[in-house]
Amino acid sequence: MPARILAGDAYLVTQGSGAYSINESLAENLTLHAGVEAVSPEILSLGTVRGEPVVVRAAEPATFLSFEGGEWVQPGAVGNRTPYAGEGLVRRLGLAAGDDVTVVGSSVPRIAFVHIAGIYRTATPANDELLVDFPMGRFLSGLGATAFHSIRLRTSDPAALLSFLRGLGASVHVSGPNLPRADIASDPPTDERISNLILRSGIGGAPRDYLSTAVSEATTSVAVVAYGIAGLLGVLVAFGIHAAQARAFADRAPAVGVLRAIGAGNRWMRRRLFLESFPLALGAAVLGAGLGFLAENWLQPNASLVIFGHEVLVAFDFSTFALVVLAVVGTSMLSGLVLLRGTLATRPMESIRETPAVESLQSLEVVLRG
Amino acid sequence: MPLTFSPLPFGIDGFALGRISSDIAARGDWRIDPANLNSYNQKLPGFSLLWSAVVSVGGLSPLAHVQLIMPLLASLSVIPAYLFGVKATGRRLGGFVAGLFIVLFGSFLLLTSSVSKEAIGLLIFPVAVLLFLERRDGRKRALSVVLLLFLAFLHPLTTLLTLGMTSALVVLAQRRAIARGRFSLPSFVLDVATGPALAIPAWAYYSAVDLPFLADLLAADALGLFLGIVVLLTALIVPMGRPARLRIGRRFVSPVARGILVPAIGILVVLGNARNGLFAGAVGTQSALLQMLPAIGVLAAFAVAGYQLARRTTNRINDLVVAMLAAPVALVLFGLLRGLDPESLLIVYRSVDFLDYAFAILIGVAFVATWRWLGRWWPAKAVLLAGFVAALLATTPMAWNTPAVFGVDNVTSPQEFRALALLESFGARNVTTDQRLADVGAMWFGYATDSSLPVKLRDNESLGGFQYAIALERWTTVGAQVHPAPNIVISTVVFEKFLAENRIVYSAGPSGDRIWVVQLVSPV
Amino acid sequence: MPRPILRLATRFTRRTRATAWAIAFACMVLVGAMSLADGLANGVGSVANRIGTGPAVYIQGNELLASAIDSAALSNVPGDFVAIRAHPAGLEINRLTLSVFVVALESYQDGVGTIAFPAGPRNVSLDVGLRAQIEAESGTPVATSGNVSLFGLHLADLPIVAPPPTRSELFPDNWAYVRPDLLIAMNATQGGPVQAILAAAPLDPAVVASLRLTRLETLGAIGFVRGSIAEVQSSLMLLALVIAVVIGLLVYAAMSLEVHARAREIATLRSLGASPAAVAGVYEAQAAVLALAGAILGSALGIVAAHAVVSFAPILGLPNLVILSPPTPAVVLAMVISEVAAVLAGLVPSRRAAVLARTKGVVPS
Repeated sequence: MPARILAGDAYLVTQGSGAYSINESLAENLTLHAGVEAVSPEILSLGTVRGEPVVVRAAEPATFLSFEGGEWVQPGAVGNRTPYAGEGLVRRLGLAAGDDVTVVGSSVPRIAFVHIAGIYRTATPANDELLVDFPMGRFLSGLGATAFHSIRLRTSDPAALLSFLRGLGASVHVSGPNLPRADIASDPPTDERISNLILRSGIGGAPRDYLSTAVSEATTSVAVVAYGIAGLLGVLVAFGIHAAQARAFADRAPAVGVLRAIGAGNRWMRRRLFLESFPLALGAAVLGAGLGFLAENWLQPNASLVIFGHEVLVAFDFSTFALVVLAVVGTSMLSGLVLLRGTLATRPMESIRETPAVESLQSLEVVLRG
Repeated sequence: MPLTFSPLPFGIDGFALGRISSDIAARGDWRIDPANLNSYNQKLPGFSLLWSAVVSVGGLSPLAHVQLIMPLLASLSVIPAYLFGVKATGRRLGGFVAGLFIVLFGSFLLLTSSVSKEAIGLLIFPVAVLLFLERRDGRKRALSVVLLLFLAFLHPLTTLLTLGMTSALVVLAQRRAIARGRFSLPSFVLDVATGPALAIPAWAYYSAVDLPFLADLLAADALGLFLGIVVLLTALIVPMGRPARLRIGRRFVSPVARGILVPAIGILVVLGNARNGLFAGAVGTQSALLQMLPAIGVLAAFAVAGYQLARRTTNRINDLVVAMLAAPVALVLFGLLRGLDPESLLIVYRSVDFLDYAFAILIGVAFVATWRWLGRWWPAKAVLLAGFVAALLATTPMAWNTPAVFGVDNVTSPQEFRALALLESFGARNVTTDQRLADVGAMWFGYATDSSLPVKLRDNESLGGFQYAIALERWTTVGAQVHPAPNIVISTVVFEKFLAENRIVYSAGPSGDRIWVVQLVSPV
Repeated sequence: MPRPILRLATRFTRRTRATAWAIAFACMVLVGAMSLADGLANGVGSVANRIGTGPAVYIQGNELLASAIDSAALSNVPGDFVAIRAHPAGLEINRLTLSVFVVALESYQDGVGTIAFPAGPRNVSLDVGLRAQIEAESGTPVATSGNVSLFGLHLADLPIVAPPPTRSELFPDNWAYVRPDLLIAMNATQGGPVQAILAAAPLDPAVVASLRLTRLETLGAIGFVRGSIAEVQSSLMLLALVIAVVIGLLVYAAMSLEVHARAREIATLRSLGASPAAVAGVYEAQAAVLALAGAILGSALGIVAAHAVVSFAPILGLPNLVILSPPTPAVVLAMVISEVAAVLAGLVPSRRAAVLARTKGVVPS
């Protein structure tokens, strides 16, 4: 599962390669540990509600909302057995508090009914989830009576947390903000490329054990396709910028030749290029990126993008905006420098006449014999 | 060199080819038995038919003497290289250097030392390509057609690459004809019919015998990728029909040129495979191969310089070099892009070997140019020659130390063979051992073998269902071969326990490298 | 003059090669993007098929509780299956009022239905989980009678009996079981129809179609992945169509520039006696040839780029299930768009230029 869905901004403890450790006993020990501020054991199930993919999360509601920075829209009767729906899910599926829906198992076949008692709201992807109690979560996922999938927690001292976990002897992986993944009493996560080959080729069939691998690889498949298309578009944009600049530069090659003939140096030429093209490139990049953001806003919410049960929220992210502008300006500058370099490598008369001065062809045998 | 290790075939394919040759010589006919473990090699009878004819005429043993003819094949491969070198440079020195490269470059030496279909293929394909290059002479064209048709019965990869090279030659020639306004449809049709179109009879034959290689290549997505690569490379080589323009003041050879990208990418791939195992499930680059990279770098520098010289001058070998580079590069790209699995690794490293003749030409050109440039500076010339030979010799471990360089053992020792023969005399029906011995047992002796013994020993799994096992002491040191996966090292405790729990019926070999034949005792 | 037109049309200069490459890159994006999107669906779908599904559960629509399958039609369904009626209800017991789900199961064999439990017509069998909840919340053992509110009706003093002797692993342990007759007696319209059919093996597609059933995927991860991929794919297809429009504009722009840049050439041809139709023919043919060459090259680039992305992603820590197949629709779409855009782009400016040269007799500026 994507880390953003599993962990949010908290530290995440998941099962290691040793004996099963993510259970009520570990959760209780963590809750009692001095450095830990909040503990949320959770069970995640992937399923469908009314044909739409939905992540069903089993967690204690109040703790869950504190981790997600959420609030109640319509609080129900608070209790362990009362399911709640995120506002995004409610809007997407046309649900309301008091509705009854059917949920299905995750990696084991199950059918269950839930009565939506309340609605919550968060500013995170959890806004599209269904929150249930632990017995329901265990039923849907097939986990044992005291087991969880993961434990989220907040702590101000991750180092103390790690040494505490080592002392407990739990076999876990720990990750979180500014913390490289720590493997405690566990091997690092195995290379999934072999199981990926088996899943892709179908050799030996695909036993149910591969289901969790298949699901995680399906999510990375979406990432691969998204990055791939982004890369292709990036290539097209870069080529388009270069082609447009090459077209414009081709008309000015004689001018460059004249300037060099009357004494303009290479450094002066580069400075000139920078001064003339940088403002244009910057303006065009800001305009283009801005128009894209506005178009995105205009399209939402009618054309919202839902990926793996979570709606992709449109938000202005300055760093992404700056990165796009930087990429476009960088491509433009690089393209300009490459074009100029090609012209600077030639003689001024070649630029003025727009014909390269080339050596007449020689025979290889003549070259080798002297 | 392999004869110093063992008189038996170097490389397991030799056993299959030996068995098929023996059967042909004994029966007097060639047949394909789909149920036979050697059916793949039966479908490609070129080597076996030739060897069975030699065996019948010369009264030789199909297995015991097959390794003896390999030096002959290796020495014959010098001839096309010499011809290329002389044709390119107009000097015998160029031919000498090209021939020297072919005879000493480790990777090529490995192939011509192993008893395999490719050994003959690597001898025939350059001749076929050279004859096709000079196809204006009708006799040469006819002979190239004969050789191309024969290649289809010898080795599919060689056939595919040779057809690719002839296609590239047709593209270059026709592009030049169009540019000069001399395009002639009958000439184009003749070129296609006697070149690339010979893929049709090859395809028909492979379809008729249901060759597995063809199914892999013609799978829908693989074919789409292959065609895409072919289109791209065709677009890339079309402008190469004419020499590259050299601006006034530029030299023929410059150290920074686009041509340096190719060997740079190759080295990066090799290094990447060492670090991360690029091909999932396959062994990564071994340290011994990494130690050869400086020597390979020196040879690559010669090749890049020769390439620049060849492209920036008019000569008789421009088309030949471009064609002989384009086809293997296409297949290497195909191997890299179809998915990084063991089969892709096989395609990549097998295709790379077909670049060696092109490299020989380019290195010959660069060497002669350097030789001439050094003028009368004899000490420098001696250093040049010595350095070149030293670089070549530094690559020879690829041929004679394959366990260290490639992580795979190609030698079958006489004691291993005796152990396998003993099992045949027992009438063993089901034998488990490692991949190499299992293949030899199946290919030569024909009994059912299984190669999962090392995995089962490592994972403490049951060995029920097998009668006998062959175990080697070196499994506890260098590991058991389970090619293309990395070797599996069995712990001494587990190994000794296995021997203790079962009945040893045969043991041989020096201490540290013993072999046991074990009768498996069913668990109570 | 067809042959001279063809010769002129296939004359490639540095400028025309650049135009062809521009078309190629645009087609590369379209073919690559569509190829990846299709590969995503192919790969995940094939893996999901191989992993298999849970028991065959059929409903009408996409929500089991809202499904209403005509019970009279069930006698025509061959094979063995269980008809499930399920409704939300209120249960008053042990001085508690609970929201529960009342379920009635009827087993069918060769069209004949039998009811295994509960035995009595008014009995309500509470499963172990529900019993545990009642005991935990009330602090007393479960009473022997209770009231049920369902379909707006209130039934009092219903006998509460032991949990069902067996329960499918598919079902949770917090349901209340009644006989179907009770539901039908309470409200024939709401209680009569069946909400779901649970079969040991998939039903005959003809039966599924005749009852307008859809399969409920009880192995949620499969349904989750399939549904998610379908959502992503529809977005990707929309993106591909947007790219297609952009390509059309790019090609049109590139070809227009090409023709405008050769205005002098057009004038020369006109002055040599070529008719406007012939001049337009030259540039039309060149536009078509360029677009074809660019589309072929771009399709090849797109296929290779898509394979490169999928092949090298695992090395970058992204093992994936994208299984590419020949992108024939994408290639055809790229070619059609390129050709149409190029032909339009070649037609309009060249005709205008040729006509101008004829009427004014000067080189167009």
